Amino acid sequence: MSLVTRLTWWFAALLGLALLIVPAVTYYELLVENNPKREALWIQFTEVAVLSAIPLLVLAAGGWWLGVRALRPLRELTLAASRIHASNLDERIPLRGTGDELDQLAAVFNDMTTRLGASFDRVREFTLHASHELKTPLAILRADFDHLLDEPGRSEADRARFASHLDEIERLARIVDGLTLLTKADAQLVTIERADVRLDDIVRDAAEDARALGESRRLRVVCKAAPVTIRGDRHRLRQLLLILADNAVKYNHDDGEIAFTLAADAVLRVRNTGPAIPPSEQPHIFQRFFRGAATAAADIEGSGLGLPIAQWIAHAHGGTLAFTSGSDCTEFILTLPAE
Amino acid sequence: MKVLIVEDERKMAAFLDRAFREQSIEAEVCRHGDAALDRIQQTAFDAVVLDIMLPGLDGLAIVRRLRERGNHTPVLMLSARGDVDERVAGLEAGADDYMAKPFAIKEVVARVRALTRRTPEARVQVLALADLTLDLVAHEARRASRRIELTNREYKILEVLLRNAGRVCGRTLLLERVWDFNFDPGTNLVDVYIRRLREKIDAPHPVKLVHTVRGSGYVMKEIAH
Repeated sequence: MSLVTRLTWWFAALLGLALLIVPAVTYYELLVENNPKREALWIQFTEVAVLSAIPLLVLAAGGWWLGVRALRPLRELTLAASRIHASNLDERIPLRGTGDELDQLAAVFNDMTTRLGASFDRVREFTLHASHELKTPLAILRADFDHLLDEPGRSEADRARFASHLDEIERLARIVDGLTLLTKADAQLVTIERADVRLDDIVRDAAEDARALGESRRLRVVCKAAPVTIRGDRHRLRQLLLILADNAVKYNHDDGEIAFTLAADAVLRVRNTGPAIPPSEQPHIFQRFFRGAATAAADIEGSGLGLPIAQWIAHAHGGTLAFTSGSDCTEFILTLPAE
Repeated sequence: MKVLIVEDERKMAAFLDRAFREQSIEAEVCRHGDAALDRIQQTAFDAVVLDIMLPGLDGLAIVRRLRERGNHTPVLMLSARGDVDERVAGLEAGADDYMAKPFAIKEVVARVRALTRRTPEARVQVLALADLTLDLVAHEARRASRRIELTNREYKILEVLLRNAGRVCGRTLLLERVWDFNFDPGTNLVDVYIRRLREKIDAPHPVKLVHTVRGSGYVMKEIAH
């Protein structure tokens, strides 16, 4: 039965009940209470009017109850809809089997999430295939340039150009890898190893790398690392630390400073001098391919996938990656669950 | 030395084939998984370069079957999907080494050579090239008898380069062995460290030992400049 029909019947019943009360009250007032000392007509009339409030209240309460009852499934639908996002598109709203408008709405909604889920799957499939299909020609291109580099009789200018092409091919391959990793991570297809990892060793290594990378710009790198062991994937953690170290070098200025501080509760702070991240850019820095104005101005090389990958690695370990940025100081705070 | 290249992509196979021949290594190309398994079992190859994605049996299945049947031919696995899971799967199936596409062809050849070299690495106590020595016990590098101070990373790089003296060490190999990275960091980390290393061991000497192989990586050998 449709919702409109059901509501109409219920309301008719309610109205009927209310209408029955009116003559009942009138009958009582006019005939039963008909005492010899007759009350003034206007008093009787007022009494009837006041007592008419009873059916009015019945109508109001009944209407409210009917409304709540009728809309309850809509509330459930809203809650269910708000629960659904990219990673649980297989969730369905249960139908109540009444076949009314709300059930139809839930069915249409379920149908929509199914289609959405299917297209999400296609996107993921596509990215995984794309990775393979893109890397194969890249590999061939790379092999060809390798060969050209070795050909006798090539000028030095040619060789320099081929070498620069090779760099670009590698960059392209890195972007493909980064995108594949993030897409697989979205689809929860990446396995994270869980072994005991000495986080302080990884932090010290990253600090040494930052020192080497920042040497030409005379960056001062300090590192204070308390011994911390966590359960995690050492390759992924190394990757995360290198991304932070590399950023701290890139977004710095000559003679600047980088400080790595690892506390015993597995909270790592990587602070660097350098221009502040403008407030308008702050909400976006973990977005894929986002590159701030400073990046473009300073001609800093990068793919725009570093921080999203870093954040994913932190989350995959049950941790968080946050940052604060003020004038001449940006600090990334990595919190990992301590053992 | 004879190498079997199992790669269905015709151009890629041709490049690999040529690279091996240029190094005077005999190579044979096979483009189908099932045929490759037969060839490896029939013939004693010194090494196999095996792509994962193949028509017929895939690379992982081939290695697994070889190892099950007691065939221990060294296998270098190639894959277009540079993800860590696939690398782990390859090594667990029984491959001896793994490289992700796009790779430097010279590094493939160098790694295959390393796989076929039978001398165990661990026995060596001192690595030497010309007047440079690296004492693996004392953790000490000397050139012309003068001690050179090296950081951890520089020491490891020197060790990897010396162990592979004469062979090209690609950036990927160095990142794996020295940094324990199995991803492309997208920085010029390797080049920066090599520059530092050169300053320490080559700068004061007329005979240079560390050389760049453009597009591929680095090699240690004795060449007068």
